[in-house]
Amino acid sequence: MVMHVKHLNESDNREPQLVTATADAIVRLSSLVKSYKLGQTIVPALRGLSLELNRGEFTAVIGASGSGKSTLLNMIGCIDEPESGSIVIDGIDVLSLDDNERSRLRNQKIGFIFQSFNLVPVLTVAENVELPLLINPQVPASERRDRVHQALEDVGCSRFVRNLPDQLSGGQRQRVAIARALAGNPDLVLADEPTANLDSENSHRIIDLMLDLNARRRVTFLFSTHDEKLMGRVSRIVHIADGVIKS
Amino acid sequence: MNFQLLMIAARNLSRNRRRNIATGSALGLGFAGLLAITGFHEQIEHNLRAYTVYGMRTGHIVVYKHDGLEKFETNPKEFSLDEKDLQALKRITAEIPEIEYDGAQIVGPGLVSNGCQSMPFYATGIDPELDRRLQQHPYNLRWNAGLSGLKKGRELWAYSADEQVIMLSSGLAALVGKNVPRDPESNAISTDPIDCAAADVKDKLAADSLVQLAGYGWNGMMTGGDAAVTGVFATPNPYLDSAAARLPLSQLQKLYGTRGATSYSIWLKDEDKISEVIATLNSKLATAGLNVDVYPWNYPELSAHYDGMSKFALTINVFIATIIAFVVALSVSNSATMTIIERAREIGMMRSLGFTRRWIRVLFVVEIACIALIALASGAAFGFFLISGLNAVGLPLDLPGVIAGLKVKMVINPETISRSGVAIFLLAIASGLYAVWRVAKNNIAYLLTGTHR
Repeated sequence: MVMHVKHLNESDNREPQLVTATADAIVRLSSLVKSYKLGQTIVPALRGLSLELNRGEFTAVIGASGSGKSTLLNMIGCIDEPESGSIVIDGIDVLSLDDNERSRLRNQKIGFIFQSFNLVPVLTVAENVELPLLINPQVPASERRDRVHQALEDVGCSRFVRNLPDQLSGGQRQRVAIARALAGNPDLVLADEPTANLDSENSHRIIDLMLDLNARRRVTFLFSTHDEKLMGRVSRIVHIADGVIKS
Repeated sequence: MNFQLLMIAARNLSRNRRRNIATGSALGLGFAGLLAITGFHEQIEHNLRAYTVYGMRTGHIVVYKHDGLEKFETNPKEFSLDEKDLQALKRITAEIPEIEYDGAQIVGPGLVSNGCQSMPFYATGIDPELDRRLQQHPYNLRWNAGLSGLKKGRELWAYSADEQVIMLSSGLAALVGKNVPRDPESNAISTDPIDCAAADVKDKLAADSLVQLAGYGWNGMMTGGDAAVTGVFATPNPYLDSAAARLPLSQLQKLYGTRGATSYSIWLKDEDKISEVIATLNSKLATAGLNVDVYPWNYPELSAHYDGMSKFALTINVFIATIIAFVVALSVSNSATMTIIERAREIGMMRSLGFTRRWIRVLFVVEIACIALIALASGAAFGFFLISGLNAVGLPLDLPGVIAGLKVKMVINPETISRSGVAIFLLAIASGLYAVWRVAKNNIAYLLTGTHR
């Protein structure tokens, strides 16, 4: 199966261009079922959801609050478990892994970008970006600094290396968070409402940046959003409602 | 272990400074408290040990005739060490270089009379020269000075061997009205008959050091003799205070008509070698064919006063130390739990970046370890000044069952500090580990949304 996906052309910095992505699936979800217990009530979050994401795709997940967007991202990010179904990331059956193996998978294959940035306040920008590399045995100490500088340069924050997070604006913090997600050269970056805490201008800049990185690094991006203005910028939109994919 | 990660953990100390200071204060004060309580326990142990080993003349090791410890009182002749036993013991102990002093002792009951009134006594007979060495031993002088010792007059060793002398405990001396010990220079012993009905009889009795002794010889015959009261000694044991007496070994042997002894005591240069010396001694005694039993000084039936007091003190001190430990553990656990709950999203973030639960535990434990180390250093300094201050004030220490006045003199030594420090450090780590373990085991998604349990 070949899937045509729009991507940002790395030669053009001003306007995103579309390229064709490779079609091998990096994420395969099959019949995921997940529910949460709220007091005495069982609230279904995912009802037999299936989805494939191809390598290099730039995908937005949209849906109303409580539709299951975050739960879907949690499943793909191996930070939550379904009651039934299967999750395969880059050919690895996630549900067969133990907690330590999943941690290693997250560290080496998945980058996370959070709505509220989640930077460690006592660490400098460079140290925050370096954090996931410290526990990655595949990245030797000698290579860490280069990776950090490259990631910060990619997001345009190389001048903030020694700053603490609270010395940065919201947009700058999210850029640093993106740099942290990318520093480990992941195959997949998951972003849960990455623009929700940013104003409109910064939101567009962050999406531009993610598109740019998607094109240049060929990293698969999956992010959830409520912002309809961003929808036209993405190559694929997954619409989720009541725990199933509508389109 | 990644040094950079450990440094990050240490740097987290700058967050929540007030809480970290509160946690550190709880640890530091807990440490100071433990230092004080262990120092106090050390003091009581030293007091009781010195009183038992040197003050009571028990020795570090005691040799009895086989079954003599239990049966000597009822049948002294059969269950005493005879002259041959004593000679053999003298020869054997001379071969053991770890032994500092040794000698025979005899104990037994009798009557002491001032001419008008008689009181029962329980006497210890010891070689005066050995007694001098024991009472002047540095350990005895340091730890037994407030418990037992000379209150008035002179010790037995101040008199020549041929003089008939006796020392009375302060209570017994009061009972027989002999509160003025004999002055060895004047050697004033009245030979005038005493009118026990006279108004001034008390003064006359007090001015005269002479007493009459009566005993029951081991051969079954009544015996008696005169002796001059040379001194009055203190004893911490209220049961002994109204009945204890001390005489030269040869004199008490004469009263009981024997050349034997109740027991043979041994004092070591290094008390840590008690087990080693007992083993050597047992081997040599078996070779010599002596039918005797060998006991360490703290054998419960041998040193019942020490055993009871020591266990009582241990129970009280362990109880107080447990309360301190509980308060410290609760404080650290609460503080760590609050910190960890506040940083649950951060833990969730780190877990999603690939940190394992083990790594999260390590990071938080390093934070707690850093707080604990700083707190221990501060607590040690505070504890040192606190204990030094209390020791300098000289607070009275009244132990139950002990009538002699003691003063608080807590012991600070490296062993006490390291033991208490390790205990507090491990307590802090365990409390913190428990708190982080509870949070880190949560689902990462719950941690990230702050809905963890």
